[in-house]
Amino acid sequence: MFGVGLVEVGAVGVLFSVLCALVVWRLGHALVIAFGGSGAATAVTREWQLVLGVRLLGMLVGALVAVFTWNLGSNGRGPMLSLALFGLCVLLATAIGETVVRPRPVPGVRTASLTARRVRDYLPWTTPLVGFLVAAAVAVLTLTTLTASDDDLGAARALACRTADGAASHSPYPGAFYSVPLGVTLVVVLVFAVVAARRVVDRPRGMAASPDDDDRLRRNSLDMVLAATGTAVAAPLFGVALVAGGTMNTLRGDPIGCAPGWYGPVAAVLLVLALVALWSTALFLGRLVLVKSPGRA
Amino acid sequence: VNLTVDPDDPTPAYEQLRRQLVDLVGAGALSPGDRLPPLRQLAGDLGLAVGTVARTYRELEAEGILTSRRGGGTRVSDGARRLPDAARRARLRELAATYLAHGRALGATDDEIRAALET
Repeated sequence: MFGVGLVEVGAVGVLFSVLCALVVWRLGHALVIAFGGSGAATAVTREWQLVLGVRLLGMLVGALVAVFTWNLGSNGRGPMLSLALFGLCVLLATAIGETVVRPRPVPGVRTASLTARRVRDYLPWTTPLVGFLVAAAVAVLTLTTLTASDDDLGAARALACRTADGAASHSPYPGAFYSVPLGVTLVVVLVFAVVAARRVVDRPRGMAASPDDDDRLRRNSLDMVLAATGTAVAAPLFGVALVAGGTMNTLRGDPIGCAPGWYGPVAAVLLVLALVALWSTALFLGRLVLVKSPGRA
Repeated sequence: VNLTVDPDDPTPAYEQLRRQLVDLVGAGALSPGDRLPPLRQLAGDLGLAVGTVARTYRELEAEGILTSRRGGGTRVSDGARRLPDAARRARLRELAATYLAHGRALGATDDEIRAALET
């Protein structure tokens, strides 16, 4: 990321191409359902299929936004924000779908449970991983913002040190030039993740034939909310951790020898974190696109 | 524990809910401190306006059966107690009398009314 390494650009490019192919493939299945084809794995209503349609539309729009964002911004800020905006579009579409589409009122006596529904009762197993990624992103962005220096263009995107023998500076480094727009984007993503999760849990019953099936739909939606959030956090974290770790290592190897001793272990942790973030990105993108929703073909 | 609303019942929906909640607390199915669902959840699931459920909650708060706290939701109040057995039996007789009256209004015989109870 940040337009420096062919390998990382290639890795993200491959991930992105796979994502686009899977979205197109999934859209084909959605069209089959929309035109009356079979595919309902459980007894769901047509309204639920509409919710899925809105979510798929969000994925398609998100993929387009990600492609446009990739080419926007200077010095690699576009690629950094690309998948975060994709995740944001999916969250928005989920929140809109679950808010706007209402189940059809049932004739006759209506029943409701007196048990209060809580978000935590429907969260998937990926929740701790998303929590870890968010905490890691906060820690890494704080570290890189505090340790960055201005480069020769005056932007906080370099890592520098100075001794009596001279000074060394290496760029790019995810200082405020990258961390501020990314931080703002991630805050927006988290706010929409909370809103989407609340909408999923608060929406009325009646999207499926039974309350148990309805709960399955809610679990599936929250799985998608967590997957979108995980993608939005993990993908930029991969780039930030990789570049920060790489630049710290480069500065350590500089002949001036002014890099603090702690750069070595921190760089190693950052590079391991980058691997975890890359694996998480693949995991969450996979869940987002491949996990079968009830009622999906 | 479920609540039901019958749109064909001439009793207003907020009153149907109020009576059921009073009965559930009186029968001990809801205990002091039990949390009730948020207004929006209950209204959405029952296909009612939020204001309808809000009115039920408000009236039960005025009767001292429910209590609402900002951020803490609506709960059965500590003062709400299970009805004594004699009062519960009286309430049961009252409900039975209502059922009997409705059955007879439909033209059902006593045997049919009794049979309907057993099914």
